[in-house]
Amino acid sequence: MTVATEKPTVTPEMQAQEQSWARAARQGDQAAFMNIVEAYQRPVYNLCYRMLGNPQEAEDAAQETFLRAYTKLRSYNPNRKFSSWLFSIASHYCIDRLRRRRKQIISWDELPPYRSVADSDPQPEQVTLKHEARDDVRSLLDALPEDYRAATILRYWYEMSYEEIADTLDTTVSAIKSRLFRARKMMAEEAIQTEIV
Amino acid sequence: MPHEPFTEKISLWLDDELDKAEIAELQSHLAQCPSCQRIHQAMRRVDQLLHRATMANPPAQFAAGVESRLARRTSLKPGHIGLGLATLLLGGIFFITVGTMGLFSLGTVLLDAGIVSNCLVALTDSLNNLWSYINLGGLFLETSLLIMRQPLFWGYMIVTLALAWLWIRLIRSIHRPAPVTVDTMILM
Repeated sequence: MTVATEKPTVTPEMQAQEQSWARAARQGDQAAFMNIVEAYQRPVYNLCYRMLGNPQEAEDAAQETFLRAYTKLRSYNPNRKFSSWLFSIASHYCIDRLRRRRKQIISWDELPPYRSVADSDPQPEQVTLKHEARDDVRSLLDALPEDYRAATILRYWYEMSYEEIADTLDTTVSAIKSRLFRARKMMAEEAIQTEIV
Repeated sequence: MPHEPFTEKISLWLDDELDKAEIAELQSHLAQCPSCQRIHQAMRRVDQLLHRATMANPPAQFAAGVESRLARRTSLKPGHIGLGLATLLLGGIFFITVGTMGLFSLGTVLLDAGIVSNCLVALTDSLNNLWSYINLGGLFLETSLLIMRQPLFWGYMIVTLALAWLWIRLIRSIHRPAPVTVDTMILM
């Protein structure tokens, strides 16, 4: 099976360091909390970006995730994996945000598609191909409901086990198996229809 | 034949959750079911595409943005404190002034000979029977209605509500998250 590159890995030393930062941050040490931000900014931002599909919204959501983590640090159980706790805050926040977005009067579908600064610049062929692949990934994720999307992202980008995903999304392992199956089926059907793959 | 049990097994297969016997059974079904085979191939390609996708990078100023928002949430700026104190001062002056005027109005009402006389009668009677208590209640109601009929009372209420609204706006403005900007981002 293909193994994705650049996936986050947390060593026991890193976990001990995180716990130490979390303890200090709980006492009001903002510098210690900023160490947590530095360590987790990329995975948290990626999770928000994959969930929301928009860089501006992802940045705002990821920042909000850290602010919520800071205010909820007192309720953090040190026996739980810190990354799961942090991803849980990010996932739930993004799911809520997507649900609110659906309720908005103006749908995103009615807005012109987002184009980053880099998109408008001339790109070498390789970069263009990567952008095409990114758009394919985006289209596939967009085809999924919020809960399925979160499970899929945690599985593919974070290589979490069923148990870890269930813990992060506050649900059961059987629910995660079901969500992943349904998500894969929906993405496969989307891929066949749009000839993505 | 229902296909869902097999497509569900394809998903488990992709996660290495099937044993050899289950894989063999699934492969046997796929060999004779074009519909499931199509889904299987699409699922595999999607799986490979998602496995190839890398992490998106946050903008360079991301951590600084968190720090700035954190500082804004955990501390009050001098401007906010000044505005809050000014509102409190204005509110205090208003309450003292209008409150005093209100008390004078109440005094005027109580100085009405008829009402005072009725009050005294009611108080005397209340010592003798229960009905007097009801009369006394009615008198309080009558006095309250008299106060509420005065424009000063309603002016007082409106300004109180306006000050409360202003205070809520002020508190909300302190806790409102700052707008964020993105310069560039690197993906994939």
